[in-house]
Amino acid sequence: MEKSAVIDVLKTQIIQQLNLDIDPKTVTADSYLFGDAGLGLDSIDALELVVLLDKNYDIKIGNPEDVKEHFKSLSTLADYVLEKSPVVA
Amino acid sequence: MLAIYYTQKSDVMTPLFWEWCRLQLPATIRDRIERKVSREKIQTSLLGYLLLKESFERNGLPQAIDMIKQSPTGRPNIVQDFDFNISHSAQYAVCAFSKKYSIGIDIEKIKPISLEFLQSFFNQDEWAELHQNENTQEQFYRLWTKKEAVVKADGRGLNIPLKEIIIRNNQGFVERAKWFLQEIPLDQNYMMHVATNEPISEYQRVKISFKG
Repeated sequence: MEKSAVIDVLKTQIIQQLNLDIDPKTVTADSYLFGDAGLGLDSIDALELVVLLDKNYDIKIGNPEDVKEHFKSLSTLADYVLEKSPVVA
Repeated sequence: MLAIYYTQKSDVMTPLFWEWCRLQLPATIRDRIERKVSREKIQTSLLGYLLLKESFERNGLPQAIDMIKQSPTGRPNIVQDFDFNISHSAQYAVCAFSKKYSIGIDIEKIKPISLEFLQSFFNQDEWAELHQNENTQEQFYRLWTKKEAVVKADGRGLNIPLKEIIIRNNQGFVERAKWFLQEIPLDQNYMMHVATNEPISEYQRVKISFKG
């Protein structure tokens, strides 16, 4: 799969799974997922994303520190999915 | 003394009300809040800062809202002899304020979460304790808001590995620092904890209704 396609799918899944009132058009590949700017997700949302990656992409996060590194934006998350997921080729 | 101010968002709040909220706050805070893309998150953030402004005014510090700075980790603060901390979740915004204690506060709406995928985020003892409890979900939110309150009181944010925050009953430990935790009942669908650097003997819980 192309990275841009993974980003689009992740964006839809995140908005649905976290029940966000966000227009997908306002979210870019580089929008921050957490913090003051961008999607403004919180720590429970981070756990929901961990569950989403496991259920949809069979990615098990063994080290919670991976979350900080790879959950910065849709772009970094897509890179992580492409690298780790056995179900996305 | 420790005061916990809280307010609840309602469906009757009109666009005019939200515009009024925006205009109560300094442009620097407003701009920071409005970098978010979710309207709901912008609204609860606005209410959080309005509570902060209200708590400053009630404590004789009307100018303090204009002096807020952000720490390098994003925690809003003022180098003064008082401390405050804001949290929000779903319909609630809360603000803790104290002239005596260093504080961190966290509120979370209790919603189902698939804990079976999240074992690596907990210490062995925590995991065992979660599953000893009849209501695992509620116990999870109890533990999580304790940890978050400690993280926020500490101020280093996500720079502390979560597993290095040890919770034992109503105390939280990070490296050599010890924090005291208090559960604050507010709503049966939410869990809230406040962390302080000394044990608290009493606190005030104050409901604020903004009318615009």
